[in-house]
Amino acid sequence: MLKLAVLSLLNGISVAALYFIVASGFTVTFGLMRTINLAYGSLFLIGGYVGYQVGDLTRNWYLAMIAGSAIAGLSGAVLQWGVLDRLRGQDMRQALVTIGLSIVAADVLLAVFGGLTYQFTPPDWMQATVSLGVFGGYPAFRLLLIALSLFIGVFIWAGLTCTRVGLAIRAGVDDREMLSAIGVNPSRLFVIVATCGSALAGLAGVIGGTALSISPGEDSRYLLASLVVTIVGGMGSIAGAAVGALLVGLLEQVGLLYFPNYSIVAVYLVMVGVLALRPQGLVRGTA
Amino acid sequence: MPEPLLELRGLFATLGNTCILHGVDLTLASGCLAVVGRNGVGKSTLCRSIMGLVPDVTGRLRLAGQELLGRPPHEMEGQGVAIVPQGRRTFPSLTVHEHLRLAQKSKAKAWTIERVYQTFPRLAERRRNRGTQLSGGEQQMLAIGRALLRNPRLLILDEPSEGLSPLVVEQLSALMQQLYRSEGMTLLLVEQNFRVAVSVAERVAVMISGRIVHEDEASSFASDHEAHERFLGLGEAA
Ligand SMILES: Nc1ncnc2c1ncn2[C@@H]1O[C@H](COP(=O)(O)OP(=O)(O)O)[C@@H](O)[C@H]1O
Ligand SMILES: [Mg+2]
Repeated sequence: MLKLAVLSLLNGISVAALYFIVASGFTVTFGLMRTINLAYGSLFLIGGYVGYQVGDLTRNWYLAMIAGSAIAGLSGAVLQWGVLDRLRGQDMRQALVTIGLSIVAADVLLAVFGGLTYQFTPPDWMQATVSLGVFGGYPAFRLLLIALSLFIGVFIWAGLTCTRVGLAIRAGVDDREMLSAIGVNPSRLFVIVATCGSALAGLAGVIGGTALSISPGEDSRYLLASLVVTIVGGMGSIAGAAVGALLVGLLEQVGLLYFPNYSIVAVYLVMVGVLALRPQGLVRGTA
Repeated sequence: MPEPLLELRGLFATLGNTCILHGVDLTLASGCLAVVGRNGVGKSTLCRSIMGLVPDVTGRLRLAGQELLGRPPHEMEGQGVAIVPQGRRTFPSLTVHEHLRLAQKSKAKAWTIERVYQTFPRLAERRRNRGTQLSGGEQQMLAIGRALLRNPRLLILDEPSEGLSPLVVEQLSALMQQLYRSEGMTLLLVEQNFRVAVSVAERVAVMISGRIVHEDEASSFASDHEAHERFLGLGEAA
């Protein structure tokens, strides 16, 4: 019983790690830049599918990962530059346009890649099982996923708090005009940020397709997860996204063990609770 | 003859559906020009138009002979224009030091973070405080420091003495004079405080309903009571 609990705890943490990678891009573009991109889940799916194709052709998982991130980053850049930047500050229009785009993307992806479920094959060394003593073995890939999410979190946090790009992002969110008046082109800056955020969604697509799998419908699942994580954790906060992702991942996985029928409900109950008691989210601030 | 640094001809600016500037003609070769006028005549709109912050503008705006009307603010900044906007507009989520780090152009230029701290020691004491935790005077120093770090050719100051104590206003006046007298910066100063305007600037321009209606040497304008009465509605006491 304890063994099962520990394993489901680890499952929860590794799912949380995946949610964190998806949501960290989302919390920066949505939470910080206040750009509403409801096609964010499609970027995840595009990254996953294109990554899969590249991996299938080249038999190289690393190339798949790079291709998935790159294509999602590129799509996100075009979306930001071509659509979202022009609808700046018009929340409803951004929402409607991106919902429309995500529906189109879902159908196009279905037409091209079919309704199959794909799973990536990672390099051999990642397929190993790590022994956890009395608790048995655990897939190395999932432990790597947890490490990767930590690395990404620290990287973004340091970037936002320490680099001039991070300062410019925070300043641009506060007062776009004044940022421009001190010489920074805010549109270009936000395209760069959207590119990085979208690349994270694509990366998550490949990683998610390796740890779990990818198939039609995953776009809305990860968009919802990102929204919940961002709202629960606190808009634009990387630490908040980590807390939110852990909460959602653990509830989902541990819930599957103890109250399987209600584990999804529990996630939304937490969100409702947070919104009622602490509408700004659990963690405040940008970092 | 060298081109004047700033030349405006027939500048019109519209906010929403209201035309605010009705053909501003203004030439600023170098030194410091103060623009005075009652509340709401369009002084801030003039400042913002020059910085590129007003999208709906027509007419001519030349900087050192180059036509730049309609350029976005970051391009105007690239051409050497900086602004200390009315109301300071420091960034709420950045600390004092982060403001300065973001604004610093190069350590080899005249204005560096160290020099801003030397000029405004109060900012050095508050370096870890956020924009919103500062007093009005401190925010003004920060807004000025932020603009100076861009090392502009043309510095626009929109009511910099607003809400400052007399002592700080005194220091600020001395700084502005130093900037244009010994550092070769050109200043466009919008001032409600008439005394500050005539004591700091070389020339004074009067704005009424979106036009420049009068321009004079600061020294003669200071004693031209008839002009005060006519343009600014000031009595003899001023
Ligand atoms: N966004 C706006 N839309 C329409 N009118 C505006 C707007 N902002 C300011 N105004 C009007 O423009 C006029 C000039 O404003 P401003 O340039 O700030 O004047 P000043 O700086 O001389 O006090 C004022 O009468 C003000 O009411
Ligand atoms: Mg004003």
